[in-house]
Amino acid sequence: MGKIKVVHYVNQFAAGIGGEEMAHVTPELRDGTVGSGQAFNMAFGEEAEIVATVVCGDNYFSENLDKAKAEVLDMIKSKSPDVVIAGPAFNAGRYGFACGTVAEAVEVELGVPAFTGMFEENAGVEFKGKVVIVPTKNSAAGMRDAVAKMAPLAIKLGKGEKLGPAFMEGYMPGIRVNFFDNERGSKRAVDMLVKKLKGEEFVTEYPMPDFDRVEPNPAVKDLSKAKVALVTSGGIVPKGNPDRIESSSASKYGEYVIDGVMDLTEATYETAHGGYDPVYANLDADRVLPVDVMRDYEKEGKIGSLHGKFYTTTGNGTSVANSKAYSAEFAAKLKADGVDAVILTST
Amino acid sequence: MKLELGYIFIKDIQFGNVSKVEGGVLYVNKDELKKLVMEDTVIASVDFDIAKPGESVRITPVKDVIEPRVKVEGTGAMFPGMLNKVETVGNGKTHVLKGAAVVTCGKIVGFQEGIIDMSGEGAKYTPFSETLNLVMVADPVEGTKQHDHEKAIRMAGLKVAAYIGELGKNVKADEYHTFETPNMVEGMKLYPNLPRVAYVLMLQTQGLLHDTYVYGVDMKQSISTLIYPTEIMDGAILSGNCVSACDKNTTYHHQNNPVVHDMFDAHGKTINFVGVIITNENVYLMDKERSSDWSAKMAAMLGLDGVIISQEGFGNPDTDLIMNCKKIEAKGIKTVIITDEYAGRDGKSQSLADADVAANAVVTGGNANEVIVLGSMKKIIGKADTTVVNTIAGGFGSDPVHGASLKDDGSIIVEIQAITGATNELGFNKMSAR
Amino acid sequence: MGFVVITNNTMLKDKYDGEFDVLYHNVSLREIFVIVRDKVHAGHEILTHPMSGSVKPNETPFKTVFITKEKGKLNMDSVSLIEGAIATCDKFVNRDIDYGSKTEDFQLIDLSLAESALASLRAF
Repeated sequence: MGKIKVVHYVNQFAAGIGGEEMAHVTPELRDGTVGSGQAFNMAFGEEAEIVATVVCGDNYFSENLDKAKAEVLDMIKSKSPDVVIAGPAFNAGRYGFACGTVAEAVEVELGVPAFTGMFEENAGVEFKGKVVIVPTKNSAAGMRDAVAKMAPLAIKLGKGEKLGPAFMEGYMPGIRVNFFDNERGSKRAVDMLVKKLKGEEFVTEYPMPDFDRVEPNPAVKDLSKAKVALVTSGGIVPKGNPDRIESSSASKYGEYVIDGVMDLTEATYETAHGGYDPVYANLDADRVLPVDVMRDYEKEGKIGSLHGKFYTTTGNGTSVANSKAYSAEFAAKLKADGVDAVILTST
Repeated sequence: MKLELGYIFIKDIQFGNVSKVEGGVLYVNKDELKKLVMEDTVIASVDFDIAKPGESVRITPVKDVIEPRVKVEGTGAMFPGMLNKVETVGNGKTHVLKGAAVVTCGKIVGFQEGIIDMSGEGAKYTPFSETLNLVMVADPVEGTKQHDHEKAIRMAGLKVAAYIGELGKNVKADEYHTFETPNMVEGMKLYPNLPRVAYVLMLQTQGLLHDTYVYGVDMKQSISTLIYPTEIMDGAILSGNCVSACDKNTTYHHQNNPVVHDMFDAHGKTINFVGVIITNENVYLMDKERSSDWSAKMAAMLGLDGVIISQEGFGNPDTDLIMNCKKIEAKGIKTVIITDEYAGRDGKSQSLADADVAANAVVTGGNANEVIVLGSMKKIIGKADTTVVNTIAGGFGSDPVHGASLKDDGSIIVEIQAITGATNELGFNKMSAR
Repeated sequence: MGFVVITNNTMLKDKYDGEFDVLYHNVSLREIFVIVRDKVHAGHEILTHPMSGSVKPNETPFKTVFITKEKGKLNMDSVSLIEGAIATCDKFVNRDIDYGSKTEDFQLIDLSLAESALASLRAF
């Protein structure tokens, strides 16, 4: 048997093309290794080899998701790899999102094993239930460590072997895999209960899905006197996106004045969001942020008034921690401005 | 209540002229057994076969597995309320033909499932590849309704197991194990410093082929109640469940309930094992609310510090499991739950139908959707044609990746949910998932 | 409490139509779930577990679910139950099995599961 054929997916930075200013570059297929690929080849020894590398700018990928994905997949497919490595993305959010998307698409659409690596706080970690993600350090300084962990997995997957569960193979838990434990289940249950009763640390074998449920506030007593604000994760911004809110993995939120604005038009507002087809939101941004309807309600006396500012970000690939931080900040502003109720819109 | 279990280790099963246990060998007169089973006029034909660990044998479709036991001393008799009078069991002395099992096999409905492989890859997943199995294959007279058919096979299995168990009555056991549950007051005095722990045992109770019987009572018609753990060892709880092979609790599982045994092992050392609360898994949501209210109420009445909750089956029972867990935790009583998972073939789907933050301590018997290849076997007991193999849960007629389940060479590709006992939710196996 | 039943099981319809309200639909199991979901959205409450039975949703073609006759406020427990059932449905792969005319056993099991709830349903 010949060497295992590996295709490597990297972004503009990892390819040495440039940083943020080159994030717009379109997908490109290069023979052999690019940048960090050489380190993988060293680790593979005689067993595997990177036959080609696909380079794509992070912004191009997230802003043209479907198109970019299809282009990248075609390039990968043309090399008929045994396994695909995406990244590692370390702490780069949009790169992590691209790596997760590419790895998942390669597995689902090409039926070829694929995986990635990234820092545990990268928003791309949301893919851990769908693709194998190896935890890495938070910057490219951790490349050597990442390669050491990822190369053996690439060889295993390239041979068509099944991976064991996360804790054995060193990837992030999320995908459920069977294995034979040392004790039977009932014994493990008794041991777990004894620990729980003693207040000692124990590890559940199946972490319940994350429930971040928020208890609803009491209903607004008199809507006709309430000051209502609009907040959206749908990325609605004034035309031209003055604060350059990113199309995915947003690093900020925007605060915009709408005093006197009765209607959001194609000429005045648009969406910065890269995760959905923007055509209808760009034609009429009220579809995502219903200023027009709120103005009607204001006139009809259904609500007291519409707050003079709205807050916006793109929910696409933005980490929960960041989202929480943004909302904590503008919630305080809303409170200080005497807002009684908020309508949150998503996409 | 105190019960002594005497294990007679069975090393071989053979057909012979005289039914007896001698020198660790179980001899069975096939004709006697056939006569016994044919007493039921619903049964048209019956045959017996023997399957031993390591043999190239596949048994399918399996209905139930029963361990042969006999009451030697104490009140009551094996399978009370079903095969014998309802007098309380669980005390005195009981002999067990350890290593032997009666397997009932035969198609009751068109899609019935359950595979036991005695060797190969599949053998790793079922505990019954390690037992010496006396397999009963029976067919009913034509026109028998499914309800009557199920009952006839269930009763025949119990009769055969009791008949065989009886052969060990006067045989000296190789090992004796004593299990004792003191009454509430004595228990508290004995172990004042140990946490009070009970076992909440959920029983499958949804309807035809989904029922469990306690002293002959269809458990779906009962509210949650208390039982001594040793009563369960004496056949007080019986399976009438024929579907969901991987996570159904066969009668053998009940007799050898691993949570009961492991709690007894820890009893007096790290826990004070108070007893067992049995409850059901009904279809009607108000029944679920009532039953879980009662489990929680009884847990509080018993002054418990902790419980282990186990379930049986898929989907609907997840809701009971979570209700029991939530309500018992709400009483300030710590819980550990045992379940299995349906996480999809790739392990990427939501594992349980229901979930709650209160369920923060979970033991899992593994992902039932994982696909496995079972090699061909020289001998089939029962039936393993396309009408069985492709239609069992976990099997398929044609699949874009795997094709049909049954291959020309007799090998089978299925999800492990087709294998009897593979992801048992009493924690019977070592298999798990992460 | 009044109840109605949503089913694609003719065996149940033939037995109980007239005795109580049977809303029969000649559709797939998943479509039955969707009909139930729409009813839940309209304010009906689910009375029996949609994932009743250990027969998997890609195995049995038949499903019966009881809901309240009366409409009330949206019941969130019912919403999550039926959404969970639909999600479970989609998790199991299509098995592509032609049972031909041999679906009677599935109908009988579904009927039995439904009937197991009837005694309690009628008590309240």
